[in-house]
Amino acid sequence: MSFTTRKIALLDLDAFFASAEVLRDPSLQHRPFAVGGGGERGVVATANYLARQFGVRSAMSGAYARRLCPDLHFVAPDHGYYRQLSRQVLAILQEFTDQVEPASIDEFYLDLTANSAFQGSASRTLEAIRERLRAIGLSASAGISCQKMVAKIASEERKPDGQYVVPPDQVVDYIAQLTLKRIPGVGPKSLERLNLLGFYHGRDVQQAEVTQLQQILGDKAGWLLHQRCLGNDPRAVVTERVRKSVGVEETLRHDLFQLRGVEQFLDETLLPQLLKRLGCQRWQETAIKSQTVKLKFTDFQQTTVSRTGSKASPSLFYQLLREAWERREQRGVRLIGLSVMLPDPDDYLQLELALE
Amino acid sequence: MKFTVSRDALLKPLQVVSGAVERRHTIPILSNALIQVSGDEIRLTGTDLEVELVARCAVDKAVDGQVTVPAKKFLDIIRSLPDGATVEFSAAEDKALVRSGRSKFSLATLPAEDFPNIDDWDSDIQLVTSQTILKGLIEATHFSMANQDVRYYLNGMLFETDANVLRTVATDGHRLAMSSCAIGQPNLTGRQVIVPRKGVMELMRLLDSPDSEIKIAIGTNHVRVETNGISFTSKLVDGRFPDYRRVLPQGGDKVVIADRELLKHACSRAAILSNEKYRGVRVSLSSGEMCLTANNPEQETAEEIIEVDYQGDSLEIGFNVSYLIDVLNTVQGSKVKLTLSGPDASGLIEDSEDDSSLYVVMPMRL
Repeated sequence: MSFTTRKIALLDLDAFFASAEVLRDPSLQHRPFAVGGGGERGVVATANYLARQFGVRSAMSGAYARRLCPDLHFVAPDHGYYRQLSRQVLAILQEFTDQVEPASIDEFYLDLTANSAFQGSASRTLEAIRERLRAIGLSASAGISCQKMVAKIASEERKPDGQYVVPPDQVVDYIAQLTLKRIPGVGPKSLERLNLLGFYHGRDVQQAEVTQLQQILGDKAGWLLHQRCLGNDPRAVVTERVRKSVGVEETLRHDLFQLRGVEQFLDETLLPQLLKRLGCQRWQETAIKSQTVKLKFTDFQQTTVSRTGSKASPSLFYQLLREAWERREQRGVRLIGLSVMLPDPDDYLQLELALE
Repeated sequence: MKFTVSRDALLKPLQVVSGAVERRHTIPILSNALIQVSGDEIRLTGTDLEVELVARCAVDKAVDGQVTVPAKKFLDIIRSLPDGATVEFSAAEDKALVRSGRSKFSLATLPAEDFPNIDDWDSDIQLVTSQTILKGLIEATHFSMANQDVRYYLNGMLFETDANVLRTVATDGHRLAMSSCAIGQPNLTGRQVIVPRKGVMELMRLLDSPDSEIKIAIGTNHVRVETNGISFTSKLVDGRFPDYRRVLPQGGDKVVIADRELLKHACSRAAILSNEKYRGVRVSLSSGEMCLTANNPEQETAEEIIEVDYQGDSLEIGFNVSYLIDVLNTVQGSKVKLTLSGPDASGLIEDSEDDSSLYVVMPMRL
């Protein structure tokens, strides 16, 4: 099957946590509110559209959000409830097609290539799906194309409560006019480097040599960006997902300024939590690809240190922690996270030639 | 500018140059073909900036000039005209007019001056051989090229000149194919160049008249192949190809001789019930016998037993069956020789009577 004949959609639930809260408490509908902690150390998870008019955004500190919007009401998040609602949405989508991939709690990829409802029209199928979701009180936006990346970007075009189609023959032109910021995987650091060298839009990348991009972003990232901008995204909609990484993180009750305290928190809280999440008894029996320590400092800047390895090692976490700690420059630490990348179970099957 | 030509004479050269034209264009003029009329000949050019194809064609009633037209549309028009039709082509302003009998087409043009040229370059190696030899070398190895690999230097084919030998090597990191041929030109400078995957595929399409002579010119960043009035130029991949000699297995002590057709059909049947994604088959070797087994996530199984010429210890080794089938489809002789050493070491496959092509395949863990 040719990749350009696929029909892939991304369905994104609009301000999901906020809509979920309105479902439980309709009185919230007409006042600006945010889901998240409104206290001194809280962070906004989602804000409803009224609050967004004041500039309140996801991942903003609660205190700052309150400064932007003094009447902002805070609702404590209830993740169990959101997960249950998300499963309900998944069940509705599966009535339309079994090719559904939950990409996160509020985003779903659908492969509608084989879908024959509505004369095989992906647009009309998505209209119908969104109608069904509206009936249970959730609004959603959708992007439709022949591949995942473009579907995802397109889902932002008519947000909230709209949908947008990028036909296969317009994919390259569509990507050409996008600012690189909108391409998934281009973070602030990469964007800065790309802009500096005159790359602003998809078309700049389309016309560049892959080797130049690899020099800017590294072999893998440069190649990937080039491929994606040329419209090559062969990723399939995966209905059964294997865990790729496992991580735990926590915001500390008080900022820490001493390494001893951070190490103690690692020892007493995070390492046992991570081991439990990994579902195994001993570190040595856990095959991994890499381990990462993340620190967020008092000024909300964060840093991560990673190392590749084949077996999880708690002592490596301490070493990575010390390396991250070196970067604190007098700042305190407000959040600590640990994670491991898990190996793809299939990586081991095919052996490699020793080319290098 | 204008010219008149028979549909049949124009079709072949137009098909050739359209091969270089990318349907998906990031620069609009690259979906066009350049047409240049001079004297009683036209010169057609198509390019994607990496590969350039030029073909010539004799025409009548010519008036000099040049223009670019949408390549695929022009090709589709010419192809769908009846055999033996006469085509009149003329261009003025921003339109080109194609007439044949009672059919009339007006195509949008772009100025020829904007059509990109591959920069001038000098060749430092020239050699002459036949299409048969070049085609044989490419066909023996092309299936092992990587496709869209991060290691961009693997997305192409290594051409190596070495004494009087021309050699091709391709690898995707899991398997490697190598083929050599003496071309009777002593004192060739030793050089290694990587031709990008697309160039290799286009070149293969061109080589359709085995007896024709072929001229190859290699420069620092380009390679050019000329045959039958067609000129193919490709940029070279700027990178270092891995040292293929290091991965040629040494000292495999388990040598199996098998009937090629028999083994190929056994592999094809076993493949049906192998895992669709990983395509693993288990090869169990014992004296005089090879057993292939495959199974898939649905727990369906296939077993194939064939007689082989083998005396030695038994061995179990897994392979991606597609890699084996690719090799068995390419080798020409009636018997193949497999040289193995252990379940984690690469296997060597070759024609048992002809060692000009070698195939190295890494096993799978099953």
